[in-house]
Amino acid sequence: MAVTPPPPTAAAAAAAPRRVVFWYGCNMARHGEIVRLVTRILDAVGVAAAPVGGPAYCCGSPQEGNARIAGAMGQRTMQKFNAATAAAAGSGEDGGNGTVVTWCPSCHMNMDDLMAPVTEPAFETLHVTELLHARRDRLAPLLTRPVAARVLLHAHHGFNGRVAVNSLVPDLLRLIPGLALVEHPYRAPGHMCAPLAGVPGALAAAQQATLAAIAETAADTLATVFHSCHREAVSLERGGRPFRVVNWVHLLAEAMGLPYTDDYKAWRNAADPRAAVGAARLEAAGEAAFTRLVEPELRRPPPA
Amino acid sequence: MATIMRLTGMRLRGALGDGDPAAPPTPPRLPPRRHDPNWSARVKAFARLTMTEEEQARWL
Repeated sequence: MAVTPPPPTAAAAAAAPRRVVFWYGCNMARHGEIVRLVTRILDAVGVAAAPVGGPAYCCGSPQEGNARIAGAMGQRTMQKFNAATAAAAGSGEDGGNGTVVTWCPSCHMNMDDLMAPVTEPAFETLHVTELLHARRDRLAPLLTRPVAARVLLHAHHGFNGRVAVNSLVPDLLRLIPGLALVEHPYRAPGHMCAPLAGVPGALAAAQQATLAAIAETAADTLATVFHSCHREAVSLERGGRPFRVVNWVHLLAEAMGLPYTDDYKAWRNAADPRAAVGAARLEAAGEAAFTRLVEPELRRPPPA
Repeated sequence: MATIMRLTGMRLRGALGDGDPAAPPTPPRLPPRRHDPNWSARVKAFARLTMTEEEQARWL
């Protein structure tokens, strides 16, 4: 049974930044279209977002096996955010950049638990779902295109106590005409799927439970909340299963008429990922880097 | 409470090191978190696949 926290605080709901830093994390680099779409959606509701991420803006999570290195990485990122905030304040830009909007639950938790307690932030942190939810009055009129789908949310227990994503995301999806959300009590353990991969059998068990929930609810769409869940869940489409896997941002984009391509899903489910990526992108990534760093992941069989 | 749980997990994985530098090292009591030594290079490789050069210059 998921713990259902109270709705977003008045402070979060009242937050009305017009310019923000969108801290998308590091592994979201696999999903450039989601970064692009979030930026466009925020812009459409009156928030100019400057995306930053990748190793240069690390929260320390990938190095959590060594707290000293993780701490140093987090401190460096905090200094960059503080500098950006100070620069924006100095420029007198309307609205400032005094808000860092997170996407990744690991980044968000590390900010709360490990980064902000060490380096005092000169900014406020909001999760992207909180910001969009606070602006849903502006978002709703933009969702004009019906999306005919029976949607099951891929929800986890873990992060919901920090940010009520398991209710904020459904609230946003309910604004989409034609979309029906189905309910199921299953919640995957942890805060997202990536950490489950380190526990033998855990990711496969979570995916089997998700497949069962899809079948029981007759959902035709599985909506992921986070990137790491998305990259594991997309392979559930293989074998002609009668549902599609999308991220919640994809659904908002469809309702707004924003075009996108989920390249990662296409590559991961292609019979030949190398061919699906294509010569131009292979050249951009570099043959050696693609072969060593990317291709093994794209060819990895699904856990479930 | 959540913070304490996270720090406890890090401690049990040996991520915080040992308190007394003179004491013999104690083995981690939980399996260490998976570590990807190629994490940074992998993130950048994917970025080159999914982002334009201009986006990489501004976003990374």
